[in-house]
Amino acid sequence: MVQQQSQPNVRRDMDGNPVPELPDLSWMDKTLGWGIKARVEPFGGGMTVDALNVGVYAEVPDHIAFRNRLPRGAYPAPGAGSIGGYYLQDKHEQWADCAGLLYEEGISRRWSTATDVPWETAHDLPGDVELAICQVATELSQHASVETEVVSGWLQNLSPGYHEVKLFLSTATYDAARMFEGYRKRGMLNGGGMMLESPGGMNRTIMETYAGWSQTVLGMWFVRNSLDTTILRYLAVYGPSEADRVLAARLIPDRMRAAAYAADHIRFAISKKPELAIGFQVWLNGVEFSQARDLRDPVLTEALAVIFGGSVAGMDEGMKVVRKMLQDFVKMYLSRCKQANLDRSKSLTSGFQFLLSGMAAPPRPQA
Amino acid sequence: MADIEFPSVEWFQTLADITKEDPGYRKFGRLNAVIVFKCGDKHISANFDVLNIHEIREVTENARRDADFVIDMEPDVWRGMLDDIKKNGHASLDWTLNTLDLRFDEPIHRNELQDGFKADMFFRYNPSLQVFFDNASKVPTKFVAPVA
Repeated sequence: MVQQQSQPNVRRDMDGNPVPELPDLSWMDKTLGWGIKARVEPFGGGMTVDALNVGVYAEVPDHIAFRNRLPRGAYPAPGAGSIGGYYLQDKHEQWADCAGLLYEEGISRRWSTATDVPWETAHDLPGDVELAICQVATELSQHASVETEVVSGWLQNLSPGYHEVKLFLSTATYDAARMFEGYRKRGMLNGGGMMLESPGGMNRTIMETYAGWSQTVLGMWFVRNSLDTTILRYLAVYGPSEADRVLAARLIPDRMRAAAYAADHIRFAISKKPELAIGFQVWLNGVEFSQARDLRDPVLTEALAVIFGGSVAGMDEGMKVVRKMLQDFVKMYLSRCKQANLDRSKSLTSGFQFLLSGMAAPPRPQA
Repeated sequence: MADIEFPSVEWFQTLADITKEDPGYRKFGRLNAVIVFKCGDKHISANFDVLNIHEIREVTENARRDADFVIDMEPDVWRGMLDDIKKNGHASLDWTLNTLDLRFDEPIHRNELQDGFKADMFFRYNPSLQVFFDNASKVPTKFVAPVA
């Protein structure tokens, strides 16, 4: 008879009967906010991102210590440490209080250029007007294409601890993509297709901003966005077909969400680090110069003058509208700067001063 | 339905009641803005609260500061816009909010405290507001002449 070996590690109950081993459930203690409940908004708002910011989850730190994917409010894994990337770890480098709201708006107010634009109304336009709108469509779609790449490129550098910002920027990428495909569709609608690309100075300025996300925001959403939004506002009125007017009008709120984030972010950054304002002002000098140089190329303004004037023959009248539009562009830009506590009214560079004075394009610098 | 005086709380309340049930309004998604509509010396405030439109009331001039933005048009412009909407079932190109905002020397919208973030809501929510006013085609309207 083989004597059964004793099993000293087996746990037994009071009667000596073996009890089964339980798994290690110590992870169940690893929570910082058990019991904190988010509430649904009234009036159809549903469960929003901002509504999640209760209790410990409402604490948005000024600095995220780790460069890793730790969700805000989660219990950190002891060995996670830093895994690289996510090098923007400070709140002032990315935060805007409105980011959660803008994300919800972006989702709630989503739309489709495929089905929400009455494309059938944009056929049989005069040839010169069709050419002009295709030229504008080419440049606007290129602007938007740059924006999708720039925003999505920066996303990986922003700390996940500020998830409202990353969420909003994901919708901003989509919004820019919608503008890209909307104007590409417009160009392709009647066979005009893609025409001359934009001069590219601003594209490079925006894409090659290595100073930081905030500086990228200044170039992309203070300056370029103000120009694009103003063009869209005028196309919503002077567009040669209902499709052109609807496409432009529907894109304006998308542009304005990005603008709202931008101004709120820069305002927040300056409120936390007042010394940043000087650098931002200097940066905007360069961006304004780049944008003014692009506008010296007459292609975009001439194409807009043909659209606004109704024909090549009506370009002179159309150019008057273009001048007003460019004035409005600079006014919108100045308003955005003021909104961010970054007043530019007394420091506009000469090219922008010309635009504000009603000149169609800034003059070339003297040799 | 008997004619309803414009501008009045009753007129805006009727418009809000129609709009809240309008799928064409709801499809444009959520908005959050307190807007004061100024016509002559009348100020009507409305809270566009996600998909609800409520707290419609007449307010004093001072209450404009509490609004996210004010839409301020001369009485004849209000009448022109609403006549055009009645005639066409919606605003024609010359009478959309966006066109009117560009048409005059001063925009029709502003934030009284020069808060650009709030003033820009006019653009962010423009499609929703256009549907709101386009629904005025369904409101039998009698114009009264407010003091300009």
